[in-house]
Amino acid sequence: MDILVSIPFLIFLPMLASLLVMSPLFTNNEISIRRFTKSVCGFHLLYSVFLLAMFNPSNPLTSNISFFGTDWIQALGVQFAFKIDGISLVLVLLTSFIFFMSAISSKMNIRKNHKFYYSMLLLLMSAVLGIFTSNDMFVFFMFWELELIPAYFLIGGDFSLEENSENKKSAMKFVLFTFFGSMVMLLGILMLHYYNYYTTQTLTASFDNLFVNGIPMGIQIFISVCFLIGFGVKLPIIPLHSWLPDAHTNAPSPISMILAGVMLKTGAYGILKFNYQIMPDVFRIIAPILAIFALINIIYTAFVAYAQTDIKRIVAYSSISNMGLILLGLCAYNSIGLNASVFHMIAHGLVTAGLFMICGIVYIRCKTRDINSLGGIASKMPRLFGFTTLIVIASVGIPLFAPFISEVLTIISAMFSELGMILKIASVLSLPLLIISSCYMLKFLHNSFMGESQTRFEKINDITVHEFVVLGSITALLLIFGIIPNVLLGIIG
Amino acid sequence: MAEITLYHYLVISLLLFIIGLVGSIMCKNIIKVLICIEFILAGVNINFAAFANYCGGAEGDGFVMILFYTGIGAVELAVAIYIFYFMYSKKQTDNVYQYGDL
Amino acid sequence: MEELISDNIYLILLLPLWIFLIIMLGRFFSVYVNKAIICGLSLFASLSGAISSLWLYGIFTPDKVYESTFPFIKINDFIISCGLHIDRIALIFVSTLFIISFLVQLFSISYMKNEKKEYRFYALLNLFNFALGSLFFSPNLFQTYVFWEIAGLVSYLLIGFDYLKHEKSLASKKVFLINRIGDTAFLAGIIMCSYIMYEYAPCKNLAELSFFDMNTISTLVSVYSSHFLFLIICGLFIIGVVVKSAQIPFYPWLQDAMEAKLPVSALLHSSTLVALGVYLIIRMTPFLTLSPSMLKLIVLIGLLTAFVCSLSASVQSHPKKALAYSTSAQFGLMFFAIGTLNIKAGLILFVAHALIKSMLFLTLPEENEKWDLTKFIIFVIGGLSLSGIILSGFCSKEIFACSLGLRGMTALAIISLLTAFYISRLTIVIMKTNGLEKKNDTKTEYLSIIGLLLLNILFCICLAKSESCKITMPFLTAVFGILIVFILHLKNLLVQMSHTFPSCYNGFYLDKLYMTTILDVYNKIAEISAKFDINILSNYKPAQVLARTGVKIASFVETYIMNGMVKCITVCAKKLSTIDLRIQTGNIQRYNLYAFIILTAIIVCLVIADLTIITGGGQ
Repeated sequence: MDILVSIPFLIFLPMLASLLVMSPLFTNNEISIRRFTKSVCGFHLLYSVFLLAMFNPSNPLTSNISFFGTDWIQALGVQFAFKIDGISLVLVLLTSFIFFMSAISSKMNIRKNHKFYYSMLLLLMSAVLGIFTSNDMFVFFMFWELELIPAYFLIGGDFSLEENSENKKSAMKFVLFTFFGSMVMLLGILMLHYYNYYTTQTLTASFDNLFVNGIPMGIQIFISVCFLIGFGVKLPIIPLHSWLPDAHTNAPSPISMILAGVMLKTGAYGILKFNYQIMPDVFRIIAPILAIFALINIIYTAFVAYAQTDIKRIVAYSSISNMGLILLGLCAYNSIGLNASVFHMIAHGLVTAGLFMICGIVYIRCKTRDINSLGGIASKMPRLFGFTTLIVIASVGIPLFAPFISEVLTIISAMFSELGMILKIASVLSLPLLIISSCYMLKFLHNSFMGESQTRFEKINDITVHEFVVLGSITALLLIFGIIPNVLLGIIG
Repeated sequence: MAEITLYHYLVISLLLFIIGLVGSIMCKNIIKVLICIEFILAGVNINFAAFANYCGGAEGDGFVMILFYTGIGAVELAVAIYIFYFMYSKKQTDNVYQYGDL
Repeated sequence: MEELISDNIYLILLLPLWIFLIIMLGRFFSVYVNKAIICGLSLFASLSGAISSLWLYGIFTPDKVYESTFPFIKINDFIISCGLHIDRIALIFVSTLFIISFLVQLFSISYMKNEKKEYRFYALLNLFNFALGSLFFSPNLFQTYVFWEIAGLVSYLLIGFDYLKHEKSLASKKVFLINRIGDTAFLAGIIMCSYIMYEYAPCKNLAELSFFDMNTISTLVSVYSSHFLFLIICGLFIIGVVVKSAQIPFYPWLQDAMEAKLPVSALLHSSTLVALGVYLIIRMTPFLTLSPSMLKLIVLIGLLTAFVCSLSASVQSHPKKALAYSTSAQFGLMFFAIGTLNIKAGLILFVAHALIKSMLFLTLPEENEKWDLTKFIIFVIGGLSLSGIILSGFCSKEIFACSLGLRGMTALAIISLLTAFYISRLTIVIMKTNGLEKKNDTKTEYLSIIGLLLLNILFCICLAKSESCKITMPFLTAVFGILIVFILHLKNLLVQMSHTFPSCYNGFYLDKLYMTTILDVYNKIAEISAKFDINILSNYKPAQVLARTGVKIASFVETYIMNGMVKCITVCAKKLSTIDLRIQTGNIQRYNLYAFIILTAIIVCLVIADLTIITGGGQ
């Protein structure tokens, strides 16, 4: 197969599968729907790994796979173009993997409306892949908006047997916030497009051809701030984060895995693409201020996480904290920072997926998510306890696991940064993260698992084969990336 | 004694006209209304005659109108009286306000 | 010889790791792994490690260094490598580690016989061996940090071995968190040094802070950083060291670590894990020699810890806690030695202490069990050795004392007094609470204890041969201390001491201070942040109010303006119709009148129009 055709295949395969699942022709049998979805996701994962195998950073032919589609909207100069480079490839792999894991773990969480759920899942996968691979501003925006619809239905949908009205409110909040952000982002995109045309007289929206140097600095800063607000809703930068705890807590666990594992990274990827790569001069000016926001993200949410009583909320706030670390890595504006940031996207995506999976397993078995009432589960579920210990240890930043490398590299990059004293201070001030994150993570581990076993948890089962596969592969990947980081660092480049 | 000009005749015709107009509007009795209409026509007639005499000259258009009045006025009066007779036989009253349901 | 080393040295380290994986994965996948196989494999790993490291120690001359590294992280020109860096100092630590690990594993074969899931214990001990071996052989500070953290993790897992008991899991969490503070300080120091190297050093390789170049690194750091920054960097490293070796002000975590089982206490928290601080300080000596104030700080911390912890150990009633304070105190002495740049004495003290302390731990009796006579005798021998009266304790203390001046000797003498005091008091207290009995068990426990005793004697002979040991002041004060204890014992005052000195008993309330202040402050901050988050940041009242007013304005516009216009039109139409109705009376005369009026109006208008046209046209 011609490698140039790979990218549309990659992106639109899940979309086609989604339409197929949704159509009335498809069977209503829960098991076949699930198996079909799992096979699509698994095939997609294999295909991404195949792309990885063919990817060779030193060979210019395969290091930058581009697909120049047709001119889509000629009046605006929009092309239907996609591109995969090192960063996109790694994120595409993460997406495939986490969606696959989520599809596997949906077995016990989703009880009703299977068809709808799985088709929306595949549609979301398609949208997210489009975000990571698009090479054109409007295509990017189209996929950005496209991911709202399935996300809304997945968060707020009616998939569990119990009555739960909280998730509709959370879904609405999520949609309103993201929509507000994307409106601001659209303003930025349009202004960028217009000013690009104004200064260079060429009508183009492709990332390769945007030429920003002619635009006056004030306008550039304004556009940059628009983008930051738009992406700051997604990668939550602190004032705009309040949709996240509700959305992650009230969504079903497989969806939380996807939300925290993949969709937050789209925000970070957006900042990478628009601010870091397209408008670097402004980014150099803004980076110290952004680093302060990142620092607030890291430290403040770690404290908030400690005070929560719902295990899923703890994990949600830990996601915000780690995304702050990713932002700090970007703000450092050097190659170590970029590598550390993308590495942490992968590592944190895996860790958060594992943690949400564990929360889901605990919730299914024990019917409660309250830390104060859980306790002593470890005696009944020793395997789950083993996995939880490993994943919690990974999340805290113990060496031999992936997040350690990315956390230490982020702090090093912030210290090495040339952008001024603020970043060095931010680097030093984010070191207590190691202590604070272990505080709330160990609280999560100890209060829910350890201690005397309770009588009402007598009859719970240990993890099944599906869950074992998910947790095992996540842990294995974390170990592999922790011990041999060059595997990823070589690709990111 | 002053000369009798056109204006004297116009005033007389105006007076007759006004009497006829007011009467046709305000009278309750249908016969009175019909007579007042005759007054209007008479006033107009005198108007025609005056203008014919004082301003017409050789054409004699105005005198023709007097002849028309004579003929048409009589016919119209006859028709009016016949309509009155019909309405009276229907309504048994000569109050013009009662004839409004047309 | 080089090839022999390079091929086999990795085996020493990887063998324990391999066995750890075998045990864990074997049980995980329910492969039947026999207890005998597990114990045998672990013992084999430790023994081979011990033998190889001792043999290497024999071959390596004091200045020979063997290094082999490979790059671990490589991002453009920032490279961090990992591998091996073997020199004599590392070999001393590694040999101690493996010997004591072997003997402790021998001990725990019979000690842990009745434990469920003991395979996890052996697996973790193997992981510990691997972690510490790699740490001692690490070529740069980054690898040291990596395995430092992993060692902390293993300590956490081992202390919380009985995770179903609430106090033990709490203790393990607390130990882990306090160790994390030290680790973070250590990391901060590493990152700052690395940054200074990366920015200013002529060769970017120095950024990975390898021990091979430590002299150059320290000089460059002191040159390129301001004096204040250099002090801060040294201070950060010292904080890391102080936390790990349980010195002032961070010694309370060692008390909580005593919740672990006896072999764990013997191996980790008396000999090897707390020795990481000593190892790091020895490696960082080039840094410290450049700032004399830091050296003085280390000496001060060491002496103060030794004094305070010896006092606290003198009044404890629980043997493990007393021995924990004793460990802190003895490490304080080691810091004192290193602070006076007497590295050799520090290392000798370390090895002697490791052998003695593990022996003391392993001979402790269980709660409510009679103390076996053999163990009692060996405990007494160990106690006398710790005080510096016989065997290797005596040799090590005297070698150290010979190099000190008068003030140092006095300090050492006071501490030896206290040491002898608390250890003999402890012997008598345990004897009183547990009672002596002669048992005739044949357990591997005796094997390991006797092994430690023999090693003690061997070490003493080695020391006596190579160095000169004279009897000096510390010996005399130690004997004096024992005499005091006998006198107090005759007056039956010993056990009451824990009640008469409550501040010493509670470790001078340092632990309580931390728990109350830091924990409360932390909880407060967390609660305030959570409330702030929910009420202020998530409370979009302004947005809601804005949305509601928007809706109100829209509805106002709808009802009054849009609908109003329609209503207006309907009302006008109605009014017009009523007027029209009044016109349509059916009254002919009325119609007549209207007709007349309108006709007149038209005629008047026409006449006026004509007149104006005539007059206007005429002009």
